[in-house]
Amino acid sequence: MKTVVVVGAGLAGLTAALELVDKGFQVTVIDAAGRAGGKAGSDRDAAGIMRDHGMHIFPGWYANLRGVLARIGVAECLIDHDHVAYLSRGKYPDIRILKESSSWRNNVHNLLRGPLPWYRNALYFYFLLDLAGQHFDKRRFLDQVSETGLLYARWYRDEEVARFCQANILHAASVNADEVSAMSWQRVVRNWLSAPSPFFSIVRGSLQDAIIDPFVRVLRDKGVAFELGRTVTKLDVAGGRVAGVRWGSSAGPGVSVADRYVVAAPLEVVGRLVDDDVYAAAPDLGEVHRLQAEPMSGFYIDLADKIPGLGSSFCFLVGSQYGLSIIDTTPEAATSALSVVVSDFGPMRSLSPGLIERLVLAELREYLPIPAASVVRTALHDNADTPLYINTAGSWADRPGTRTQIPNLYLAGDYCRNPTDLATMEGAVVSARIAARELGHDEGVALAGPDVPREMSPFLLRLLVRLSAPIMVIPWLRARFG
Amino acid sequence: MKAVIIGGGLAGMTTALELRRYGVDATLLEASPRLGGKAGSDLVAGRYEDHGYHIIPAWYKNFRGILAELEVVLDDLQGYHFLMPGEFPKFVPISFMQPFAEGVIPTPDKILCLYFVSQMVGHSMSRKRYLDRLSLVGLLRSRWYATEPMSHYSQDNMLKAVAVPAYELSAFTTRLVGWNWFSNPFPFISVLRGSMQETLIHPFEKRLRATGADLRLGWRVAKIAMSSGRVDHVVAQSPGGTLEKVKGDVYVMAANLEIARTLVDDDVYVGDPDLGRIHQLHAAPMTGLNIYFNRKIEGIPHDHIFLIGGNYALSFIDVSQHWPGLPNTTLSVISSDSLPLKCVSPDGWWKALFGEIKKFLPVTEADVEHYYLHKNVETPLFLNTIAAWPNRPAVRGKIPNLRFAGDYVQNITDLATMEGATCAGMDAAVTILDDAGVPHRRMPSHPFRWPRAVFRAVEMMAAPLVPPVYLWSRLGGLFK
Repeated sequence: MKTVVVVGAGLAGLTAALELVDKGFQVTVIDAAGRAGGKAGSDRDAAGIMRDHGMHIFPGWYANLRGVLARIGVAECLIDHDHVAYLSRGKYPDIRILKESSSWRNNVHNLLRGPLPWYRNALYFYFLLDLAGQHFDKRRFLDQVSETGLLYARWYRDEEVARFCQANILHAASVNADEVSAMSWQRVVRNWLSAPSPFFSIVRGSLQDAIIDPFVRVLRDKGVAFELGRTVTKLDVAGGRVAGVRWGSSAGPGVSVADRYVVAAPLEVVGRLVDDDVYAAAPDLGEVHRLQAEPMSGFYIDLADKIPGLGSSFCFLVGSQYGLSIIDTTPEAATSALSVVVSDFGPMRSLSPGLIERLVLAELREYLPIPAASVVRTALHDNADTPLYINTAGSWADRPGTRTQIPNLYLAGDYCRNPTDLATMEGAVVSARIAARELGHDEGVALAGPDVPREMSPFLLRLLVRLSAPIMVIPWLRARFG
Repeated sequence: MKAVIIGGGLAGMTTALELRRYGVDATLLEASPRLGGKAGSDLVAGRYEDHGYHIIPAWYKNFRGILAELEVVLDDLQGYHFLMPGEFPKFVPISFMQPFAEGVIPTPDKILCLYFVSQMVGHSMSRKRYLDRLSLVGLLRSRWYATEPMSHYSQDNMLKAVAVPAYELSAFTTRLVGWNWFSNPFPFISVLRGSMQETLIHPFEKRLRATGADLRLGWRVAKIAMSSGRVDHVVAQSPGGTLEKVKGDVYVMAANLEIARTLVDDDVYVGDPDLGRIHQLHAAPMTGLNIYFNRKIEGIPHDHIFLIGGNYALSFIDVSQHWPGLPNTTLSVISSDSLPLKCVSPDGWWKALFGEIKKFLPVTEADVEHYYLHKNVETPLFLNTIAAWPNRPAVRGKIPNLRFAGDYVQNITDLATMEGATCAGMDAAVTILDDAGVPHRRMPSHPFRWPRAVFRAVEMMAAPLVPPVYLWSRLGGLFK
């Protein structure tokens, strides 16, 4: 039986282990933390409550992640949502709704009563269709353009629409619209167009309890060995192949040896492993240092009262300095428990946790009625040490493939090149399935690989965009000349 | 009135010079044992090793003013050359004198590039508009006549010059730089006739001491202590290792970006929350490699050389053709893109960079007498990325007695350069002199710029040529 060491017990590592153990490989998973899950896991706060790294959403097009959840028997942990909400500073309780585009009724609602005036909603949706239909070539230097850069070159461009795009992308992916690769965002828009429903789902309870712990149990039952609390320090390279993984732990250092290795650790960790030996054998891996990552922080506030009007909506706070979005995780209860995503954590990076909590709370109060006496407890996951890879324009060329120049070393993680492109849980799962398929291929074992979603024809999209251009002159004139 | 200046690089030294010129007391705290920062050189084994070569275009008006005052002599260069792998000694000249010279990219694309620059400079852009948060590639792509070779050409030119890939480089900044350069084409660039430390920083330091500036070397500032919304004092570690309070009436943060970042703690942030945005700025190292050969390599032009098509974006100047007393070829090489080597040892770093140089020049390890590698990983350069401007600190922010100076600070030059550091240093001095009611000359001064209408007129006159040239480019591509 061939042995595999998987470095990193995040979603990518666990998925790779699942794929491989099912094909008869003997798999060992190593992780630096004392628990599995990585960024998709949860930790106990000071009060002993399980808190996620931050709010995670599961769009309908996360086909591979949803498939994994079904395989480990936890698919019912998801609660579906059919809209997102927008709240402007000082406008509470006037919350604007953007519904999933699964029916004409919803689309008409979005156009006429969406977050912007009707003519700007029209321009925004027209831009999304235009973006989805664009023909991009990953090798063309001219196509290394950001989402804002693409909008800039459209005849119907509009400043307010550009700012609205920025808000959506920042809240959803922690990256600015002027930085995000138009190609990556095109992939997201195409996915959402192909699978508009459910708009997204969230998990009932913490990710650790709902997904990660059951996942680990399933893997252990299948015979996967977990070695937690081991921090990988070096990849031993001999004769152009990985000969072992060196790690340190509280009990001292050690080496794990296997036939093949899957490194499913985050970007920062992989970068540190590219020392002289690894660089000499696989210079392409040095490119990971060019990739950018930004922390997205999670903040939790338990209240003694209910904030009325929020319901279960995932709500973007428009114009927020720290890119805040919120959701009441206990919509049916008599009290509110807010999960707050801080998409723009950068400005607070060097501040103490106490001040960060005060600043976030102060900004929330500019949007929502939260009396000071109502705050029961708060918890902050600043995630400064576990940033997310951001899909900046031009970064595709610097992303490593799942197969490396070292024949028995594979990479998995959302930052690796994969069909999902955008750094997401789905990207982590897809890259892991590809890595597992490639590893299997090299051992002569056939694995299925990821499910690739069906897409609308770009040709039809382009045709639609061209044909409707004359009509779009009307909203454009309205936006331009008021 | 007494100013405490944190950081003895070009920005801090400029502030000190201008304050002393008008009689304001200046105490300068510099963490390292020498002045100059990134514009200086380290004395290693008897040689002054620069951080990398420094070029001085004609439009560095304020920096050139200081050089003139210090009587620093310059060597003028009229352009730069591209060198492709394996093509030595065939260097392709790029200059205002020969805009259509053969090579690198097809002639029609070069003409389109020139047209693009005139259109870019004539173009109206605003720092307030979100839509104008655009990269150079983004702006280029929005032109109907954009071609793929044009984008490669702009990448080849800009990556080496500013260490920012063209798809991340702010179009707004590029437009200002293009405007400056096309308005002041001669000399294209100048270089110093010796190491930065000997030819520039030493005379500068001497001048500062002569004017009575209090220069304290080896003083590392550890904290900016606030009290009721103002800076009360700074805490600095003296050369003796003790923590000392240094007090003044006004404080100038002229340290580099990474140091300034660490000093934005809770108290400073509460005084001016805008300063948190400093963390959003990007910086990357430009690696310097000085190679002393044991022979003279014939055939290297005395201009600035860009090596095209490598992994590490190398460029160099043969300083032995500019500095007296160097009989053998001495290359001052910069790698604008050595991030992939970040976790590799210095030896591996050298092997990788020299391995690439060998693909361009007829040299081997046996020709190298000595080399010095300045990884500069700890002293990266601020990058003018797409939306950097609103995140850059203003010279005067919300804390009434704190100023910022440095090339990453908002200033008229915009591009992170020695000129930018000089302008920001002057700006800081001006705000202090104004507050003290001291009359002073106007500074910093704008370089000469042709009015934008001139560029628009050129663009309009050339416009009828663009469709045929574009066709020429596309058809030429087909026949290849």
